[in-house]
This record gives sequence, C-alpha cells and structure tokens, in this order.
Amino acid sequence: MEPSLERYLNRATLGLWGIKKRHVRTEISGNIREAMLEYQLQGYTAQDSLLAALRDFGDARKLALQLTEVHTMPILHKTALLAGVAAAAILIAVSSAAPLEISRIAPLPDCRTVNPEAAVNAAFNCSFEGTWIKLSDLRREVEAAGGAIALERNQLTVRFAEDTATVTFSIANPEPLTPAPGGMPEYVIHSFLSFERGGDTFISLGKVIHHIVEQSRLPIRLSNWLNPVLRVGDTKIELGTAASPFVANALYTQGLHQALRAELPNRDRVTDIGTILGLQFYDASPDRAPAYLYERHLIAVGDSSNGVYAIVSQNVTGKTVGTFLYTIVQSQNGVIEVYLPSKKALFVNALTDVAKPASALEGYVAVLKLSGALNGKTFELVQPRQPSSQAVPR
Amino acid sequence: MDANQLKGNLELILLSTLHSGEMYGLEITKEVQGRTNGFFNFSIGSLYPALHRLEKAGFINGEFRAAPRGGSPVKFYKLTEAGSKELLSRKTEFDAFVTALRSLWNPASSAT
Repeated sequence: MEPSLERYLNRATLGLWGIKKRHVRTEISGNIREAMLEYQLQGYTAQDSLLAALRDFGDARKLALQLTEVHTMPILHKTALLAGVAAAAILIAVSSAAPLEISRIAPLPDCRTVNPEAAVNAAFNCSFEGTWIKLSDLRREVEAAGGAIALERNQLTVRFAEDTATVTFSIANPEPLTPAPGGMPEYVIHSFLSFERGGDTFISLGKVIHHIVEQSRLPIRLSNWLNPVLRVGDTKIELGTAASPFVANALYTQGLHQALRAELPNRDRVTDIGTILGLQFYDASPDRAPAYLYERHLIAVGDSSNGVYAIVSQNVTGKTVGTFLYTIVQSQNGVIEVYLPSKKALFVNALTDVAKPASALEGYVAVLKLSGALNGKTFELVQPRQPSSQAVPR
Repeated sequence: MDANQLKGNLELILLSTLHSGEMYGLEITKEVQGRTNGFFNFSIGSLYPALHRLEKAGFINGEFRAAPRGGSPVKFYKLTEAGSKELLSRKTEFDAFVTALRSLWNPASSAT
C-alpha cells in the first residue's frame, strides 16, 4: 500500500481497534482507491490522484475523532459494567467457527522497486503476493466437520470426515517472516509453502487447494469471487471476512486446472491459468502502481451481450514463459479480441501470439466461457464440456 | 453552506440520499453534490461517522462488496425499513421546523 495512504488510514482509525478498525480501514481505503481511479481517468498520475483523493477525504485526525466518538466511546462508557459479559462473549466468538482470515504477504521483496530491470526477468520469483491460510483456522473448520489434521515433520495430513483418502503434503519448514531491506514488506523464505507469524503457521492457500483437489476423493466446490466458500465434501471453509476481504483469483482456475488435467491424456502439457490470475504482475514503467488483475478490470464483463472467455493453453515448446492466460472477448459480430494481463516484456512471447489470434488459439485444450459480473457479484464459469472428475469448480 | 448547519442535518441528508437506492460513500457524496448542484459540499471523510451512526441505529445496512470500477471492497449502504420510517419522521419534523421558522420571519401571515 502507498505510504501516504497507509499513513492516512493509520491516523483516521487511531481510536479504533480490532475488527472495527479493520472494517473501517477497508471501507475508507476502498473509497479512496475509487476516488483515485476517477482522478486517473481525468489524466492524473497515480501519485497525484492519491493526493487529490486524500484531500477530498479531509483531515484524518478530525475523522479519527468522529469515528472514535461513534465506535469507541460508547464501548468505553459501558466497559466497566460489561467487562464480565464481554470476556465471555469473546471466548464464545473465538471458539465458534468464524470465517477464515486470509493473510496476504509478499513472498519476496518487491524487486520491481529494488531493481526494475531484474523484475522483468525474474518476475515469477519476485512479483506476486501469496495467499495464506492459518493452519489453526483450517484445523478448526476440518475438525468441526468431523475430520482431522496432523502435522508431523512438516508433512501435513488432512483427513476429511467422509473421505476414505487422506491429503498429505509437505509445508517445508515454516520460518518467521524475514525483514526486507529499504523498508520493503517482510517476505517468506520458503516462498509458496509456509511461514510463521505470531506463533501461528500459515500455509499457501493455493497449495492447500491444489493438494485437496488432487488427492481427496470428495467433490469440491468453490463459489463467489469475493470471500469465496470452498466446500470439500461436507466441509465448508469460508475464506476471507468482511473485515479482511479476499478475492478468489486463482482459486477457481487452480481447481479448474486440476479438473481438466484429470481429463486429459497429455496432462503434463496443460498450463496453469490459475497462478497468473493471482499475480501482482509487473509493468516496468516507474509510475505504475502494483495492481491485481481484478483491480484492473481486464476480465470484467462490460457488456453482458458479449461473452468473456479464458483459454487454458498447452505449454508451447520453445516458449520461455510456461504460463499463459488469454482473456478472449467475442463481440457480437464474431470478432475475437485477445487480451493479456500485461503488455510488457514479461509476456513478450505471448504478445507475438496476440498479434496473430489464430496462433494464440493454437494448441489450446479448453475454452472457458465466463459469465456474470466479475466484481462484487457471483461469478460462474461455464465450461464447454463437463469433466467427469469430481472436482468441478462452480 | 454553514458547516454547523450541514453537520446538524447530515443524517437527514444521508437518509434522503439512500432513499433512492443503495450506494457506497464516494457515490453518496457525488449524488448529494450532483442533486444539490454543489450546495452540500462536504469532505468525503465526514460521511463515514454519520453512516456508521445510522448503521448502528439500524436505519441503514452496510455490506462489503467490490467497488464497481476498481474492485477494491467498499461498503454499500441501503435504507432499512426502520430507516424509511425514520426518514419520514425526520422529514416531517424538519418541515414543521421550517414552517415554524417562517412564521417568525413573517409574523403577520402566521397570525392570520
């Protein structure tokens, strides 16, 4: 997050704490980002748009006082009387099955800032945040549904209540987050697998889902883009909370990828379109703010009369980049336009394909029609054919 | 417009605006400014405490969803049934206040 935005949010929510603080931060931050986008549409740079948006929002300290008056003062007034009741309520809340909070921690320092040129060449190693699930949260959900989780020598074994198989995979050696130089966010040494923070172990959510899809024999369902729900048999795992919202991104496509892999004879040649949906991909221009695909609306449905499609492509021999995502928009007159998440050097090989749509379509293994609105509404993947595998993302 | 006058009526302004449909903070500001030709012009930040107060009172409901343009989560607010009743009551009260005030400006007409 931009330092000046972070500062504003810190000041504005100074008198709040806990979930309320996170709620208010999320709300104000979302509105500021919307205001920034409006300014950017008027030609402002990212930096200027932030300054203008913050000016519109007014004095953060004044806002903090008013918010404290609404949220904190009434609690303080009642605290003495309700201390005992509150303690009991907190205990109940903690022990009940609350939705999971997803942590988003950059696995590696933002090397675009450290070295923009290197970032382009090494983007897959330094350019994206991971999504992480707290092991204790996962355990709570699995056990609540009658299953069990065991961790032994970094091997995590998950047994779902109604499954005859177990899901086992390595979470490497969870290590504390590492401070990065130059004020950059802390990062994870064993990227993609696990880390420790505050006595808790966090595991890569993508890995968890990958292994569940691959190893469990249960039907798997994913629903909703915002704060999605993952169902593995009868186990329901809610991902993200109102206070800490989570957008599905790669979840759908990773599950889908696995489903398709199970169907194909040449499964090893199928690339994963999921990873890239979650990428905080890089644009080498210096004023480019990090952005997620969904934030940039690259696959938003603007016109419901047109279909938006994604292609699962095969690895193409000789290509240096192994992961491809094409978002295909088919207009009413049948013209197919191909969009890539980035038009910069990172996807230079794929760009060649874009120039020749026929070539871009060559070697695909599935075309997925995406229907419904992407942002804020339930999203649906409509597959051209239904894999017989049990893993059917929906 | 005088800041105190605006502050005193902010909740009525918000309830009146949300009467036309659900909106999030930034949208509300624009709607208010647009519909009043900029007469009500306040810092966007000042809306949130008032919105939260109304939500706590049960007059509006807020729900986090992705913003229409940017995809960042924002909180959409809509009027509850209690909120609609409250709006009606506050409008009546406000009308009565303005009528009473007018009678002070024009004592002759109120006496007749």
